[in-house]
Amino acid sequence: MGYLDFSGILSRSDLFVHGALLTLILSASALVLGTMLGMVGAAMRRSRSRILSGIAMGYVELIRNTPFLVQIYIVYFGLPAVGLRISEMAAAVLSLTLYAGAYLTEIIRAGIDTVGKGQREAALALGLRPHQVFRHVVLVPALSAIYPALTSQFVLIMLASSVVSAISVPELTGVANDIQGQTFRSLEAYLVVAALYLGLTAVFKTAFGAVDRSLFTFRAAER
Amino acid sequence: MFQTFGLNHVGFLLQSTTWTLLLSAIALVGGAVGGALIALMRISGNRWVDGIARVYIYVLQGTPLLVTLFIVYFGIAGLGFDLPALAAAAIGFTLYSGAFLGEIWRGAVQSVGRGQWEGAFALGLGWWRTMQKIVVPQAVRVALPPTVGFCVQLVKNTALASIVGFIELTRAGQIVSSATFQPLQVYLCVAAIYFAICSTLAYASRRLEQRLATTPA
Amino acid sequence: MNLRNLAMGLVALAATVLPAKAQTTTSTLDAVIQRGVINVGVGLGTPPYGLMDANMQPDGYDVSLAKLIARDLGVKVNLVDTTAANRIPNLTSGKLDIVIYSFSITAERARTIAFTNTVYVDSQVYVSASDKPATKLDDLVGKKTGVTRASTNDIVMTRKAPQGATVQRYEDDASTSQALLAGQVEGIVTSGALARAIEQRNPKLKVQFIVSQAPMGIGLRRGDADFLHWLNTEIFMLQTNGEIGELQRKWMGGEVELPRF
Repeated sequence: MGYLDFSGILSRSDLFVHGALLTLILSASALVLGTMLGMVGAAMRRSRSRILSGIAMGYVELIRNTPFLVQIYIVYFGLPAVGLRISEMAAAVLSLTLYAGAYLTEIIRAGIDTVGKGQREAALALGLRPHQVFRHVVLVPALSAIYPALTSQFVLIMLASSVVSAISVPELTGVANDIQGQTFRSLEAYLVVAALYLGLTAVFKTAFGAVDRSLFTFRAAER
Repeated sequence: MFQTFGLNHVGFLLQSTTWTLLLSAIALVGGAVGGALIALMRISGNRWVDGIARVYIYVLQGTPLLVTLFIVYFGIAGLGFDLPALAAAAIGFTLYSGAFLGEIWRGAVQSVGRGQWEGAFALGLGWWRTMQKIVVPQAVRVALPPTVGFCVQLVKNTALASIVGFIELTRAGQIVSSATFQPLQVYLCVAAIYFAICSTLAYASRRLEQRLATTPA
Repeated sequence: MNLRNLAMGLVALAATVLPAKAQTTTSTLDAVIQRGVINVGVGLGTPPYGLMDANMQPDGYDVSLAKLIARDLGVKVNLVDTTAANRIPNLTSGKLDIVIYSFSITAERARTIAFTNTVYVDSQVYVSASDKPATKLDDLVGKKTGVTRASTNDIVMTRKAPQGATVQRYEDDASTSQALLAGQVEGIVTSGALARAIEQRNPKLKVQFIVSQAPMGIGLRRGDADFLHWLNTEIFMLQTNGEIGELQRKWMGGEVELPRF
């Protein structure tokens, strides 16, 4: 037997594909839901109510300063103690969303800060309605400003999702752990997984790049 | 056979926290050296040197740290070198934090305008002197807050050192949880300790940010 | 950048350098005696095999056995806490001399590492709430059953679970039993020794049936006949002088017959 032997691993490539898909689904849903949560959080952080901004700040600090594994355990094992039992998939999506939401709150807040007060006032003076101002003058430019940060945050969310195997969700890392437990070829399993994570990262960076070009068309003029 | 979660366990958790702090410190020092090197490579202007640094960052940032540590610890052993656990952890964390700090610092250095370089060159300063006297003092102000922010991530990520056999805070939590079978209480306590460390760092980061923003260079 | 090329490059690089692995010519037995220390892999999160006692010192059946072995070798013991999944990489990479870690002997594992004679025979049992009875594996169809990843229970259930039964894998025994207590799974398959303790602590839970029996040995690197023979001699002696029996009464609640190769 050679030092590196991928045969046992590659014979279970279907499991790896399944795990990679699950990782993709988990990360994408956490990104979408987390962005929504982040928008709410950012709005709360900027609100004049000290209670609202305090709650948002407490949430952000609590999530950012504790390990993700602990957060998952509390959602998965802790909620049933207060009578709320959710499946491992729901727990994984919920905790990933809470995790992503905290980071995205700060990113989106920083993005909104880039839009000056004068711009909003000018838009209002031009007769735009408040929701139009928010959409065209605040949201889209803010999103375009934070887009690079959003992209790298997604990669971080994806890598964080590897931790949900701890609550028995068979995503990519969980699959690798299962397979190395069965084949004892752990180095090979990890090499394959590392390559798959890199592949997923590349897929996403490409997709984000395409969205960037179509969404923020005004940027093309700047370039 | 099972114990009840109590003060002796909290003491054990706190004792294991010293490993968490030590590993974080090692990662930071190693990462600072590696990060400086990567940042220099990125701004070198040489296509090949820059390219190597880019690939390095791409691979290290795109791979879970767990996988990096595993490959360093067990992979290097396969080459016939016996690497002590502490050295393996130090190498793994240095590789990892070097990639992140390198990018943070490159951004900071590049945030210093081209004109400053040109002005310094015109005054007859060499590359190193310009870097040392003009660019770095300004870049530090930009780089400090995200660097401290990264430290927070690093502290949490040292949990992964348990795969190479360290009983740091998270692994200590697992052990206590197995001895008591009260995972929830144990992990809440673990979270509180992490929170204390990380929020202190986050607070320091914000204070530093404010001070650097108000004082002239 | 072309990722496929990168990945292939990585693999090719690893393949060219890795075969340079050092060949051990001397027996680990001599190396350990010369070193004066034996590096033993244990799991401190797997009671009653390995755990931290109330004074936060390593203890348990496996840990006590490791200490007896070190005593009879005349060396110090260096207990290294490891995870179930890393037991074999730790041995094959030379990080540890032996692994005593509720290590079930399987023909599959024995292709990669060597096992000594049995040091304990544990059973894998199904535990669930007493009002949710099950008597055989087929009763688990349509239900979620928790196991600890890469453990003997996982291997047994991966092989034996009937079609339609869902196996949920957790990282350690505490999480697996917590999943049962939190109602996230219907039942769990765990070691008989642990199940007895769980039952005592939670009167609502009951051991429903035995899934399989697993003899456990000490793991070491393959191809070291001297060391394997010494360890088997040691186990034989500890059995004859009653010290293993004493450990079994202390940690497992009774003595069991230990079959020999």
